[in-house]
Amino acid sequence: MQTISREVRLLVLVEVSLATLAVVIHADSISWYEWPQMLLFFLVVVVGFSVRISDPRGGAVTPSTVLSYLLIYLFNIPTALLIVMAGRTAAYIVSRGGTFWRAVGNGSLMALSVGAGGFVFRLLGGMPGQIEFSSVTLPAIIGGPLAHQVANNFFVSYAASRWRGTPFLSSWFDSFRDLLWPNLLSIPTAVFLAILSIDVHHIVVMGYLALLPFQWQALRLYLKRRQLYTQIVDGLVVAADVNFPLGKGHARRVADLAVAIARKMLLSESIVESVQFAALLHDVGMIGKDDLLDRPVLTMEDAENLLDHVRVGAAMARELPRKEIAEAILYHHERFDGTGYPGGLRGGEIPLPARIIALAEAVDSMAFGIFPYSPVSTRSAIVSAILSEKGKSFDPEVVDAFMRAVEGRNVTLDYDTARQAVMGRIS
Amino acid sequence: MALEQQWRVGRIVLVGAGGISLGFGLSGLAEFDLALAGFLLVLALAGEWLEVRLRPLGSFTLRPVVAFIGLWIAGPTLLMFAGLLPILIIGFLTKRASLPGLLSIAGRDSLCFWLAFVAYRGTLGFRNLPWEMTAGSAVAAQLAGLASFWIAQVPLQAVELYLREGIQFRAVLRHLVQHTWVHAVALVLAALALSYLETNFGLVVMGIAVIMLVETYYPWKLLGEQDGILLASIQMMAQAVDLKDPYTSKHSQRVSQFSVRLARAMGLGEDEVERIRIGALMHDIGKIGISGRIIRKPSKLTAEEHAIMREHPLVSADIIGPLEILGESAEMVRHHHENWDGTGYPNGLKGEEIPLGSRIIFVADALDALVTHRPYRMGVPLAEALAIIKKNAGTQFDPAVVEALGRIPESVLIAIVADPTSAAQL
Repeated sequence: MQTISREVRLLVLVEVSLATLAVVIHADSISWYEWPQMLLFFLVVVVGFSVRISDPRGGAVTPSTVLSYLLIYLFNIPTALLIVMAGRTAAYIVSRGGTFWRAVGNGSLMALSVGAGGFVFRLLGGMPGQIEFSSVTLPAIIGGPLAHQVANNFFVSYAASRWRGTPFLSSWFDSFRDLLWPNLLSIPTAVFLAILSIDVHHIVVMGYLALLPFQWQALRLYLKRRQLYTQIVDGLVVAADVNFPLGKGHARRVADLAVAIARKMLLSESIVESVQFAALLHDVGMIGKDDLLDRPVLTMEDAENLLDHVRVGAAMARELPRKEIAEAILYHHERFDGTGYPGGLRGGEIPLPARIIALAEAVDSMAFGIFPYSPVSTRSAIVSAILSEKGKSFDPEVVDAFMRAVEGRNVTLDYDTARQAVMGRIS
Repeated sequence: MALEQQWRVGRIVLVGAGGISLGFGLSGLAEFDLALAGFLLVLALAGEWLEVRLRPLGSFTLRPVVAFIGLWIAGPTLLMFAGLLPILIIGFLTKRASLPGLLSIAGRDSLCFWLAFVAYRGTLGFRNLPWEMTAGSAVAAQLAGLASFWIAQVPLQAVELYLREGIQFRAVLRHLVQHTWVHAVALVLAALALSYLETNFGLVVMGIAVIMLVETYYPWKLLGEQDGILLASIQMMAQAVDLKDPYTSKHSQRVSQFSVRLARAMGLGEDEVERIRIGALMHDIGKIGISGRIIRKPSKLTAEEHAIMREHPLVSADIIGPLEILGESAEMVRHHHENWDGTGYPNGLKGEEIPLGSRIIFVADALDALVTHRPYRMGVPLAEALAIIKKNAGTQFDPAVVEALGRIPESVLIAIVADPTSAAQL
């Protein structure tokens, strides 16, 4: 793990002091007489925040979102702050064995987010501890959690931008977008628990914790299946690559570049994933056509057979439930001006993933001199070759996103090491 | 009668019976409360969207739970309304099945709902009681309704699978009961809890609880979908190997379909059938590393090339062995070239020593090799292929498997040869 820079230390210090200050100043309004409930929620937070399973929809499944919302609904701001800060700090030490410094920083961050959520909840007319579900209370019920998310994403993105050098604003925006739906879907659960907690008994929250293993069982199996699926796709990629000595690693590199471009175009995570799989599998139809490439001269029939790899690959990928993967494979040799194959589609008729993969493949083929390109070694030569085809072979928007990816730190276009490795393996 | 025709007749019967039940259920249309119906419909739609698919057979949704709430609040009209409409709406939106397929699901559930309603009212004693019940007798009636719904639905599903897939009725019934009873109990408890919430906290809280249930079950839906994606990617992998030789295109899929029918004809459990399906898909995966020139060679192979080809069952087993789920089929893949009399490879196993799955895949593999064209000869007609296999029963093939092959209707085999992909969805 990296050493924490001075700036991040400062940030944590600010967070801790802010959170502590908020608790201390409003110590009077902390409802100490409710201490059994506070203790119960402290324990629930410790348990709930210690467990984490990475979520297929992005982020991680932890009951922490639901519990934070629950605290916003049930307790006044300083009380909620205190419970989260203490509980989260304890949970961090229990589950990750982190240093005290790091744990307190994390606890304060969570506490400030809950504070922001509670503030907006009150602002929109919500009364802590008196939740009711109606059209009047709806803005507060949704607004509080939303504010919590905005604040939480802000702190995390800001710390990450100082720590790892990721761009702050775009990562703030990205994390907000990726987590919005899962978080909105947590609201009904939190409201339900809040109502039962007020009207029946606070102990109901323990019942919620009992439901979690039931979910995790499925998630664990799901993640295993997913891993197996990736292994199978990897196997296919290797099988396709074996056919072309020059192409070793081609599919993997095309996929990396295509994903970087797709991210720059701010596409949703599920489309980015389709782009990735389609790019990995784009030449899978080449399997079985290996001897065609060895021939010194291709007949018309051979050439057609070779071009047919897009159809064969698409037919294979059609097995997958995500239809856009097969579409992207079928059309990845279309050109933006309508002179490509197999359909001669033009512009927006070509599916977006196919347009992205077409560019990514061209870049990699130039860098490695894969048919039909002759080797172009320098970065500027590749960039100018792509720019000259803007609007002809390639979608201008995809070219722009590519340029942004190259200018940013996402893509290096430094293929020398990879090229040497491949050449070394051939000779 | 061919499976397809059987299933078509079965569908018509189901839709008809469902229509009659719907008629009975809707006889009290006057009590229809539009706002309540709309609210329950939204919840039932969410419940139906959450279709959890169980591997390898069966599925369940939260829709019936919402429908029963409708029955308890407002009577049979809402039961039918919230119980049946979402099947068509969600089915249409997500293209889950064709219209006749959706109608037959709706027909089946309509019949089950009506039986459940009769059981519920019967337990209440057919007295003229108000619908809102909180006493213990009401809970007994609710339980009777829920139980009869499940008791009616499972055998009907089994009949459906028997007609559609040709699985033995008792085998599929046992499988469904074993794999769904836990979920059935969980859903019954959920229904009772929702009913309690509705009476004590009102409709809105009950609705929030349904949404929370959907959230809770969501990972299971994801898991079921991922299972489907996994099988699809395994099929892709199998097809990639078949592509190395244009003559063997879709070979693995046909072998897999033959093997599944054989395994079911022999009365194996569905879990074993699933292992055999995957083993059959992966049986030639070891050829992926063999040069296309050897695989596509039209003339006779040299001794050295032959030795390479004979390695492939071992390589296949080694590739899938370490992988989860697929690994369970590794042993049957390793031995799919063993002869019944012990003259096969790689280990020269004999008779019952050879895993049953291997014996099944071996027969399926031979059948496909015989009926399809190869570079060095034309394929033979199906009847002739079956005769050749029968002649080699006891020497090359397990007589029991060959006998099971004789029990599969020829029309099914022909359908698989013609198009293994759509035969799988028959």
